Amino acid sequence: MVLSTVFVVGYVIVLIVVAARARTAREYEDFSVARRALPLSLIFGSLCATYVGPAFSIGFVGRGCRSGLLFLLIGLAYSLQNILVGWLVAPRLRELKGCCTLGDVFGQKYGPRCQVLAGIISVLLCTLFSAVMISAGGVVLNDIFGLPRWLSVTAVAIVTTSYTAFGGLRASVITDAYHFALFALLLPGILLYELLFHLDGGLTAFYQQAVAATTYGFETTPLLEIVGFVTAFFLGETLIPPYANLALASKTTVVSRNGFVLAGLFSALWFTVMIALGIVAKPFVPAGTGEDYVLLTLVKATMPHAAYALLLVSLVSIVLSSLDSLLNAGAVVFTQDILRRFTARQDSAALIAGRYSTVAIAAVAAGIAAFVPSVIEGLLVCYKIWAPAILPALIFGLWLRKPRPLAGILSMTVGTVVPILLQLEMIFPTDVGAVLPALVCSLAAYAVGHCLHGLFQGGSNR
Amino acid sequence: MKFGLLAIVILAAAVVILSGVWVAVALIRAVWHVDQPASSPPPDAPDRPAQ
Repeated sequence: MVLSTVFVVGYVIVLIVVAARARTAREYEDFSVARRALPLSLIFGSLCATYVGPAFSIGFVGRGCRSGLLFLLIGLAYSLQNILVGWLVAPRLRELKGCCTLGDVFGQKYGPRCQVLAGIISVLLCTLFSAVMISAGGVVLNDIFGLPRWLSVTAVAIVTTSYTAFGGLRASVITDAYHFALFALLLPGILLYELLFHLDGGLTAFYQQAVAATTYGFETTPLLEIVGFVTAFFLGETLIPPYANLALASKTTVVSRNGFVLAGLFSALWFTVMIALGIVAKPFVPAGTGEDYVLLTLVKATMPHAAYALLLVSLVSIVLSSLDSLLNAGAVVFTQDILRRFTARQDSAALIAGRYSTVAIAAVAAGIAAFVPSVIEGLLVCYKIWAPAILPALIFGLWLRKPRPLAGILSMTVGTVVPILLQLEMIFPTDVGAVLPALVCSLAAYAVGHCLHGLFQGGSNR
Repeated sequence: MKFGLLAIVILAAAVVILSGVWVAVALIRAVWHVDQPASSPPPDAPDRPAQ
C-alpha cells in the first residue's frame, strides 16, 4: 500500500514539474502552434499519446480477450489512415502559410464563412471528445480512490485545464511526451512479465488461445459490423483538430509527414501489444467480466498490488494526454476560427481568449461527462459526425486548384446533419453504421455545390 | 507458426518500449533546454535564403 501511494504521489510530482518547466505561453503563436518549432520526437509522442485513449488501451485488451486477432486486423485500418495522412495530407497542411487550425485552411481555400462553419463543428466535436475523456478519467479515479463520480470528474477537468490553459500547445505536447513514455514502458512491460511468468502451457497454449478467440470473434461478428468498424477506424479520427494542429505546429513539412507515418506504424505495434495482453488474460478472467475490466482483472490476479497502482497511474496518464490535446485544440479553434473573425484580433487579446476558452470548454465537457453512456459509444458518436462533416471538403480543398465556397458549405452542412439524423434513426436504419452513408451524402453535396457554384458564376459572368 | 506469433508479439513490445525511451529522452532534452528558447534557430530559418 505504501509503495502504491509512492507511485501515485511520484507521478503527480513529476507531472507538476514537467508542466511547470513547459513554461507559460507568453504569445498567441506559442499558445496555438508552439512557434511551429516542435521536433519529430515530440510530434510523434504527442500524436501517439493523443490517440491512445481508453478505447485503444483497456478497450482493445477487452476485445483481444473476446475476439482475439480480429480487432488487430480492424485496428490496422487506423494505422493505414495515419500513414496515408502523413504521406499525402500533413505535408500539404504544413506548407500553407499562416494557418493555426483546420478552419484557417478552410478560410484560405473556401472563404471566411466556411472557416466559421468548420470552427463551430470542430469546437463541438472537441467538447464532445473531451466529455468522453473526462468521463473515462472519472471512472479511473473512482476506481483508485473511491471518490464520488462528480468529484473525480471535477478533479480530472481541473488538473488538465490548469496546465493546458497556461502553457498552451507546448505544455500539452511536453506533458503528452511524459505520459507517452510512462505508458509505453509500463503496458508492454506488463505483457512481457505475463509472458515470462504466467504463460501456463507455454507457447502452444498462447497460440491455441489466440486461434480459439479469433475464430470465435469471426463467427460471432457479422460482416457488415466488421465493415462498419473498419470504416469508423479508417475515417473517424482522421485529422481531428488536435492532430491537425500538430501537423501545422511541426518544425518542417518533413517532420509533419514523418510524425504521422511513424505514429501510424506505432499504432500497429501498440494494437498488437494490447490484443496480446487480452489473449494472455483469457485464463485469468472469470466468465462474465466486462470487456473494460479485463486488463484490471489480469493485473490484479497476477501482479503485486504496487503494479496495480502503477497500471492505474498509466491509465490516468492515458486519459490526461488525450484530454489536454483536445482542450487545447478546442480552445485554439474557438479563438482562431470564431472569435478572431469578429473580435479579439490582436495577439494579446487572442491569448487571453484562448486561456478562457480552455476553461470554458473543460467546464462544458465536465458537465456533459455525467451523461456519457460509455467510452466506446461516446467516441463512436463523435467519429460518425467528424469524417462526413470535414474530410470531403478538406481533401478536395487541398487538391483542387480553385475550390468553390458553396461546395464546402453544402458538404459540411450535409455531412453534419445526416449522421445526426441517422443516429437518431430519423432517416433510415443502416447496418454499416452512419459514417459510410453520411460520407456518400457529403460527397454528393460537395459535387452539387461545385456544379451550382459554377453555374451561378457562369450566369453572372454573361 | 506458433513461434512466429510469439516472436511478433515480443518484437512489438520491444519496439513500443524503445519508442517510449526515445520520447523520454526527447522530453528530458526539451525540459532541460526550455529556459533558453532563443538558443534554437527559428524553424523556417533553413528555408530562407542567406542575406
